[in-house]
Amino acid sequence: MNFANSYGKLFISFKQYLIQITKDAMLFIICLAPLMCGVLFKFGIPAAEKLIILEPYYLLFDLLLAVLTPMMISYVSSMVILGDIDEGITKYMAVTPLGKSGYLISKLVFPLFASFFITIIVMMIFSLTKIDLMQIIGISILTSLLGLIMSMMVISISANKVEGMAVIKLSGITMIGIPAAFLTAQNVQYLFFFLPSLWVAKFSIEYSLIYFVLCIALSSVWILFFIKKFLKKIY
Amino acid sequence: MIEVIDLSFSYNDRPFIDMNFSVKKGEIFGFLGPSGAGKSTLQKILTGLIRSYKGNAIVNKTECKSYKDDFYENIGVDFEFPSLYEKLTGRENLKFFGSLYSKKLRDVDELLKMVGLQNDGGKKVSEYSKGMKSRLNFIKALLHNPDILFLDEPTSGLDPNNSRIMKNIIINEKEKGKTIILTTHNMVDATELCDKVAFIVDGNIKALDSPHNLIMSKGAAKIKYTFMDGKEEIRECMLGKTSEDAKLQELIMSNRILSIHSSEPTLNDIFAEVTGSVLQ
Ligand SMILES: Nc1ncnc2c1ncn2[C@@H]1O[C@H](COP(=O)(O)OP(=O)(O)OP(=O)(O)O)[C@@H](O)[C@H]1O
Ligand SMILES: [Mg+2]
Repeated sequence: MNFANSYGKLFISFKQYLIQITKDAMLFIICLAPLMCGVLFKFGIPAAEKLIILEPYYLLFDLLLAVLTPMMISYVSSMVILGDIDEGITKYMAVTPLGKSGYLISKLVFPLFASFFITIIVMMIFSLTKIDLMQIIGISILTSLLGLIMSMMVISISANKVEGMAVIKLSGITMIGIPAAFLTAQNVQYLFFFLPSLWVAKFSIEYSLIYFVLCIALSSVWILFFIKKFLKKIY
Repeated sequence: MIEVIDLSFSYNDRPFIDMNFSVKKGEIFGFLGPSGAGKSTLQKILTGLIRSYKGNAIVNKTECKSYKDDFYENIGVDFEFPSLYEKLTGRENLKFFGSLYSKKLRDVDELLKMVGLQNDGGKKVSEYSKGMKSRLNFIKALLHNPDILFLDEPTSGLDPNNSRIMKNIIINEKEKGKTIILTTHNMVDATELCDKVAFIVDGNIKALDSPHNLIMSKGAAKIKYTFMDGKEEIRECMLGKTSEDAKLQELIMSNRILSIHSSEPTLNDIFAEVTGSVLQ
């Protein structure tokens, strides 16, 4: 009974999150971005092949697609949460039966779960290379984690929604590890060792569990680094 | 209902909150103090927002720092600043916040009507005035019919008419047996509403009693009279010592008093006397 209740509340709050997205044209369009990019990559890139050779970079395009969904969803969550902070909602949620953790689960964790599944689907439909499902799942877990880190970073650093938009653009830099893994020499790559995004790319290229574990460990460090500031910001 | 024992808290190293008090069920307990005294901070401790305090703060037999989420089913909070979805209408806001509780809710339209917002329920909150937001925020705290209400300056920024309406609602809630903690700068409101008031300055309670007792024990009523003595003059004397005022006697005997007023000290005067600082 109590169990059902608290789950019910999480879904009510998640529904509210979806309503908030539909009330904001920009956020709504962002949610469609992975789909549009998927179509563009899937059909545009092979077509562009006639002009330049892109085949060696197909995996890179696939990875960009794999980070796109978590990034966009992380962007949307950050905007919704920053908006809630501006309006004093997050503080108020802490004194309702939803609670602090319920709020964060419904507006940050649920969306990232969704992004995990959407990424898998998007990859299965649109990927240019033949990656096996297990690897797709692995990649999706890691990229969703990147999304979480990005949201925590953006929310911790920005004072309000307007600042958040600027910070989000900057935070995209943390994704540089992905092209770096493809486009730079081995020894240069290791300059980016602190970026989880590098290890996501390494994991996709070499499909070795070591990189997966490394990426999880590194992401945890990032999360621990931001968590205190992040929680303080919310309440 | 509320028991605070050796509570201490500081935002940084400097000790800030340091107090003891208790509130009985069905009481309206007021916190008065100048800006920055720590009234909102205390509310944040009692509502479980700040959990890093020392000592005990027990509300409804539960230590504040270990509140579980369902504890909030019985607590209503009206923060000092409104917390509302600007893009939703007033009614949508109430419906949404209400849906977070498992309890039976009060009727939304009735609540809107109580604070004179019956015609604005369909308007977006972004189109509300400041006072309308305060009123909506206030009824949001009543929505789930909580046993304990924490109200942070509920009447600040309201016109006298709406302020009156809010005060009546507060009194009404008390009559239903609710326990109410409120903070205010307004001595007149405090005198009228509160069973007990605590004066806080710099996080400490400087005095705690019923408004009536505070006024009676600390101050004495005075009379002020004016008369012509070449030009108009004003004098004061204690109400209990009129027989010792020769001038007054003389004026009365010769029918020369122009005006005479008695005045009880207000809570404001008592506050100034006890704390050495001025409120308004
Ligand atoms: N988050 C915070 N971090 C550090 N200091 C804070 C914080 N919040 C409040 N303070 C400080 O604590 C003191 C008391 O603040 P508080 O909001 O409790 O005052 P108040 O009595 O409610 O005042 P007012 O009547 O203006 O609302 C102030 O000096 C304030 O600067
Ligand atoms: Mg305050």
